[in-house]
Amino acid sequence: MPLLEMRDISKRFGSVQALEGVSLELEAGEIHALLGENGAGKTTLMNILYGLIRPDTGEVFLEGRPVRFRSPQDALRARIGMVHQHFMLVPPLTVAENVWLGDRKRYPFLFRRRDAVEATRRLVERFGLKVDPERRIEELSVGVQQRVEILKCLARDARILILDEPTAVLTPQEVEELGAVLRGLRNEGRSVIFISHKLKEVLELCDRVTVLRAGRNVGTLPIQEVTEKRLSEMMVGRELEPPPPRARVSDQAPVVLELKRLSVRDDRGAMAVRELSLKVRAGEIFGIAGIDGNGQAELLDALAGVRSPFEGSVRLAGEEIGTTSARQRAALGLAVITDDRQRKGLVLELPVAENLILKRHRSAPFARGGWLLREEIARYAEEKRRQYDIRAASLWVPAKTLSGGNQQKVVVAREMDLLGQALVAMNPTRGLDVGATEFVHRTLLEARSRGAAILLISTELDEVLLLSDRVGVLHRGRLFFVPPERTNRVEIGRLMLGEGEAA
Amino acid sequence: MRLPEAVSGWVGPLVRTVGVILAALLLTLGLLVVTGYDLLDCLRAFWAGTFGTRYGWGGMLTAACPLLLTGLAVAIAFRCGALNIGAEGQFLVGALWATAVGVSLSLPRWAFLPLLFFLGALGGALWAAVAAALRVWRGVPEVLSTILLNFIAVEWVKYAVTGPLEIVPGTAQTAELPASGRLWMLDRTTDLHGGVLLAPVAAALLYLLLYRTTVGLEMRAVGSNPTAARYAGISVSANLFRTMLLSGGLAGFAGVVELTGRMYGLTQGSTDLGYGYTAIAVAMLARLHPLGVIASAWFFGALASGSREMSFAPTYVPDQLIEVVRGLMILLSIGYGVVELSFRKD
Repeated sequence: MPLLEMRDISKRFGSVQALEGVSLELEAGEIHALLGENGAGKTTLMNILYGLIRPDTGEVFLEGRPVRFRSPQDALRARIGMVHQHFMLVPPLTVAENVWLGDRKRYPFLFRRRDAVEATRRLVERFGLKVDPERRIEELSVGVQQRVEILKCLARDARILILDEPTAVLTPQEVEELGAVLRGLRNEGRSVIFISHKLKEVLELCDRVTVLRAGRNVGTLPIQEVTEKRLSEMMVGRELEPPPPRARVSDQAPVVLELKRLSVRDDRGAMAVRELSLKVRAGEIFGIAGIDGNGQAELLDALAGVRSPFEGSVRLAGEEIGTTSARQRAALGLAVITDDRQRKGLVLELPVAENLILKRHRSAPFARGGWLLREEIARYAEEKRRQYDIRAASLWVPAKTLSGGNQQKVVVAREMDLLGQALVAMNPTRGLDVGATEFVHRTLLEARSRGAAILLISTELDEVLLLSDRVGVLHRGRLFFVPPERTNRVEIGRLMLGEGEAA
Repeated sequence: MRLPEAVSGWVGPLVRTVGVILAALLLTLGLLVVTGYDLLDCLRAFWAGTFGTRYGWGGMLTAACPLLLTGLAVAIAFRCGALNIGAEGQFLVGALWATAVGVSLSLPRWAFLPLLFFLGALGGALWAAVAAALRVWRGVPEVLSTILLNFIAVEWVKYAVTGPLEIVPGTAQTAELPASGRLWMLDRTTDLHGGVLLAPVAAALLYLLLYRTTVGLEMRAVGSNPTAARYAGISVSANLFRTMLLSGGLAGFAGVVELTGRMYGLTQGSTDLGYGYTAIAVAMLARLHPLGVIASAWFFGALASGSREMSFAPTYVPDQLIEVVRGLMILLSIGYGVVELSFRKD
């Protein structure tokens, strides 16, 4: 008998059927992945399990007995714990405090600090989670913070842990460590539900996988029986396109983007990018791989015109642009897709149409004499909507109402239209599902075939390998070129960790 | 006529706002009853002071006028990223500068009024510019600097009114503006002056600026997301400056309009008017939308006028009760916003 069974769950929100007749089974001692695109219903299903929402139909059985959770308290009492994508920890407090505060059963009146620290230490040892109970959350890395979240669940003796996109914020090293922790829990007979987009990690870490698509359960399979390709196709509902052939760009192609000994400081004054030199030719994609935090953000800022370089030059088609403003660079045809569409790419409160014309909002055809030409803007926005299939209630509602994928389409549409010769894109598919990711990749490749020079900065190694004609690795601000014969995951992974130098 | 999409997005917030107003009114009526006032008499007095009589209309619109202009000043500032709490001080500085010139010159009205308006707006704008400069060049939060500047403005007016501009020693008031320096009266029997027409025009112009010009687009972008604005090539500091100058200018203009329309001179009491602070409530109720401020100011004007009527015979409701209503309004509209936000968890 399975430990947990969710039978025939349906849920409707207004006009949207979020879940329809979904069933899920979880055995004791298994790591079960829940895969699906954004909007497929994974989060809704888990919110129902965790007591945050009530289902319209269907039942939940725990060890064969029907249960009804009216709130997370009920779920917790039934030993179900959840680790959300955005942690719910209090940064100035210590690990022990975060784990035990609020546990009125244990500490009904006074919070006994030493007792809590001891209890936390016992948990740490028991589950092998390597956390110092007395450190403050704000001093800890994201990977360790996640372990604290898991500890919180284990402190309540959770036998089912729901992890929502746990690897989104981890380094490859930390992903391995998480895998070890989860396997330990599994071997004890506990179960884990692993919500994720990251197919590779699902294949590495999980025992079984359930794929949801458009609110329905498309299939539950043991890991041995699936491949990445099969899972993608199940998620999207159709066959995916084959990976693009690598372009052979001749040395005769003009150099469009050239960086010479570029050095950029970060916000704290440290040198985040060190004497970086590279050339990107027309019709090629140069991919920069690397673990987040090695200078990518500062490099992007310097190229976007938002951060002045400390030293060095940036040339676009031979012209020095290192000190020009963001606006001037847009006018020169440099397109920029930032890594954070909500903070850097879009003004969410403004309507979609206005976001589509940002960077070009001061000139024809969208403005004249200081006045915005509304019909022109509306016409242009409608054209983009059709061209990129942007799903929005209206082009004049605030951009924040759009889903992540559609928001990114707005950014991509805008940048593609101002793209003259060069494009810099950082993590362009962050947070996007398979369909949207495929779309962005296709758009980049089209730009390449039209002769644009593309600099792709991505912390997703697979994306870099998939799209790039040439590859470099950014480590502590320095760029290491990877020769074609060494362009594979293992070699690049080593460079990302700082081991060894490229020839 | 099909409503453009931007307008039909209004209906929800409008309904909610009306709901807030009704709730506050109901609560106040409840208070009145509980404290022993005759409900019918109160309602009758309120009606007489607002929509029921000619002088009610006059009182209502005249009271709304300064609130409309200062409300616009606050709304545009808040919407565009500058927390201008200094509308009060900017109002006073505008009125002061206009008074100083207005009582010492005499020009024909067609030249005099524009000059005074210009001086008032200039005074308010420069007063706001001080805070803007501090913010842009030294990172001083304008929430602080504008409030402190308010105090300075108050003292400045008090000084002028008991010193250089004092008409007769000991009276603590300035001379009055000559007739050509006053706004034309729309209705002799009430206080209704031309400013009541100017204010909505200003609101309409502001709406056009914010939503139909490139400058307006940049200001709104900076107000919502300065980071993205920067990446889009928009200058955050330039736009913050623009916003503060515009906001201060509007508040200063409000001061002159009130001066030339109603006050005609300054007294110690001028520093107690508090329009700049009430304007914050006006702006919030209007959800920071220029056209919404028209309705919101009107409502507050009605409140002021109706309650003043209630403070007379036969009901004699004290002013404090009206302050309670205002407070309730603010609490409910802000409180509603908080409740709304916490339910809108995506």
